Amino acid sequence: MDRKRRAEIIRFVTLFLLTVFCIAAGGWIYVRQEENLRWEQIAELSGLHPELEADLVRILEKGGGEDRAKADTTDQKDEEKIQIRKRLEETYGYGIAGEVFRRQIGGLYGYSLFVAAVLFFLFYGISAGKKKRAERYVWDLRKSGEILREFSQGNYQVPEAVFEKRREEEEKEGIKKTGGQIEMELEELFREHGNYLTMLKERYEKEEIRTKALITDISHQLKTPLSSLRMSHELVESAYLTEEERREFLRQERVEIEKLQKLLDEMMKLSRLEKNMIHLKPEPAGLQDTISEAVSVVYPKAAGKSMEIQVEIKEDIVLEHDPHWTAEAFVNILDNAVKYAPEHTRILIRAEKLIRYAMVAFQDEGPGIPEEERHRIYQRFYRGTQSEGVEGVGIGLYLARKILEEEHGSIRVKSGYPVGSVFYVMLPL
Amino acid sequence: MSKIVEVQDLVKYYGSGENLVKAVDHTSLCIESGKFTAIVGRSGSGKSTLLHMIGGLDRPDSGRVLIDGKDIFGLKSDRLAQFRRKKIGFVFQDFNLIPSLNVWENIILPMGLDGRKVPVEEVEEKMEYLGLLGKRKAMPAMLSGGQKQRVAIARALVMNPAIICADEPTGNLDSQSELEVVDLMKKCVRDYGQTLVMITHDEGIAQMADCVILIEDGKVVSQS
Repeated sequence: MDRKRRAEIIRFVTLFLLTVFCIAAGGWIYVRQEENLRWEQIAELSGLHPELEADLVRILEKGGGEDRAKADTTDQKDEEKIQIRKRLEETYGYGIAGEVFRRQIGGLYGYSLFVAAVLFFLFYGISAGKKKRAERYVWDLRKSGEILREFSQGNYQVPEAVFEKRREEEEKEGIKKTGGQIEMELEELFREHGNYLTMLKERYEKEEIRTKALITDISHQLKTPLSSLRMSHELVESAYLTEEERREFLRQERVEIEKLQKLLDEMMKLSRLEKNMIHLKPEPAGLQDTISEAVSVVYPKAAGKSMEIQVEIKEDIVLEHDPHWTAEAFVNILDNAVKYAPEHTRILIRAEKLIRYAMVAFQDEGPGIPEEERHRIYQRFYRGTQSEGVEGVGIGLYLARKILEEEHGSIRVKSGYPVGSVFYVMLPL
Repeated sequence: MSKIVEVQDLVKYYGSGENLVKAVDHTSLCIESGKFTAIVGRSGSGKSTLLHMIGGLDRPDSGRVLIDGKDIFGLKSDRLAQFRRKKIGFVFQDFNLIPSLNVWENIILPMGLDGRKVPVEEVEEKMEYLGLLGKRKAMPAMLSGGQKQRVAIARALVMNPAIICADEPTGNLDSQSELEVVDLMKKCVRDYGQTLVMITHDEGIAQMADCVILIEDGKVVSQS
C-alpha cells in the first residue's frame, strides 16, 4: 500500500513538473518573440535613420512602451507629445503591428495553456480512474482465486458479502461505486457453485451410507431364511428321521426357498427401478383396466381368506400412466390389505377425478397403522410392529411409492387405527 | 443436500411474567434445498411463529435465520422486504386474496409491488399448471376453497421464489381439495426446483414430506 502511494505521488509530481515546464517554455518563447520584434523595429528604423541609431536603441531596447513613456514624460511633460508619438507609431504600423502581434501570441498562449491544463487533468484523472478500476479487477481476480482455492480444498462456503465489503470500503474512501453489478453477479455465481458442490458432496456421502445400510439389510434379509434352510437340510441329511418327518422338513425347505426366491425377485425389481433400468412407458389409458389388473393378481389370495374386493368407479378416468407398473404399485398396496386384514372383511377401491389429479383410495378393514409408524412404512425393509408372523420383506410400499413418484404422483395413508386404513394414491391428469 | 435455510438458536417470547409465552424457545434447525419439509406439532406449539421468522415476516428476540448463508435479520428492513419478495413465497391458511380484485389481478399483484413487468406467458403457464386458466376473470368470492388456495399458490409461484412457506395451506379445505393442493405444491418443488416448508398438523401430509420436523413447546423434538 505504501509503495503504491509513493508511486502515485511520484507520478503526480512528474506530471505536474512537466506541465509547469511547458508553461514556462511557452512564456519564454513569448518573451523572446516580443524582444525579436523590438530588435526588428530598431534595425528597420536604424536603416532609415542611421544617425538616430543610438537614440533608437536607448528608447526601444528595454521595457518597450512603458520605458518610452517614462522617458518621454520626463523629457517633455506634455500629453500632446505622447499622443503624437502614438499616432506616429500607428501611422508607421509598429504600434498596431505590435498590438496585433501581442494579442495574437497572447491569445495563442492562453489557449494552449488552457489546453495543457485540460489535458493534464484529463490524463491524470483518467489514468487515476483506470488505475483504480484495474486495481479493483485485480483484487476481484485475486479474491476469486482465493475462493477457488478454498473450493479445491473442499471448503465450499463462500464468505458473506466478500465483494460487497470491498465496495463499502471503497465508498468510505470516497471512490464512486461503479461496476458493482459484476461483483454482485460474481459473488452470487460463486455462492451457487459452492452450494452445488456442497450438495454433490453430501449426496455422495449419503449414497455411501445408504449403500452400506443396503448391504447390511440384504444380508440380514437373506440370513434368516438361509439359516432355517440349512438347519432343516442338516436334519434331513441325518439318518434318524422317519419318512414323514423327512417329508415335513423338505416341505419346510421349499417354503424357505420360495421366500428367498420372492425376496430376490422383489430386489431385482427394486434395483432395476433404482438404476432407472425400468423406463415407465406412460400412455393414455383407462384407470379402470389398471385397477382390474391389480385386483386380478391379489384376487386368489383374497378369495382364500373369503375377502371381498369392491371397486367403485363412476366413470373411467383416462390419464397418462404406465398401466403395468402402476398396477404393480396397486398390487403392493392390495397385497398388504389382504395379508393383514382378518378373514371375511372387505376391501373398497374408489377412483375419482379431481381437477389436476385422479385419486384412487384403497380402504381396508385391517388392523390399521399406529401413527408413529405411518411415515416409516415407505422405508425400504421397514416392517411394522404388527407384521410379526406375516410373511414379507418390507419392500412393497417402498416400491409402490417409488413407482408412483416416478409418475409424478403420490401415496399417503390415513389410518383409523386400530381398525382400517385408507391409502390414497394421486396421479396427475 | 445443501442447506437453504439455517435457523440458529432462535428465540421469540410473547407477553411477560405469568403470561409469558415461549413461542419459539432456542430452536435450531436446517432446511434442505429443493425438498419438501413439513413442520408438524400441535396448535400453539409455536410452529407458525417459527415459519414467520423463517420467512422474515417476524423479527426474533434473538438468534439468527440464514437463507443461502445470508443473515436475513442483519438486513435493513427495506432490504429485507426486497429480499423476501425475491426469495420467499407465502401461502396462508385463509388464502389472503384481495376480494375486490379478480383472479388474474390477484396473481400478478406481487409483481406490481416490485415494479416488474408481467411475463404474461409465464403467468398463464403457471395458471394452467394449477388448473386456473378458465378462471382468469373470476372474483375470489365466486371460487371454492380449493380454487382460492390454488390462486394463492399461483400468486406465490409467479415470483419464482426459492422458498415457499405455507402455513396450514389445507386447513380450510375439504379433504379432496386438501389432497390435491398438497400434491400440487409438492409437484412444484419437483418441477421448479423450489424448497417447500409447510406447517401442518395433518399426519397424511407429513407422510409426503421429504423431511419432518416435530415441534413441541417451541422446541424441535425430532427431525427426520
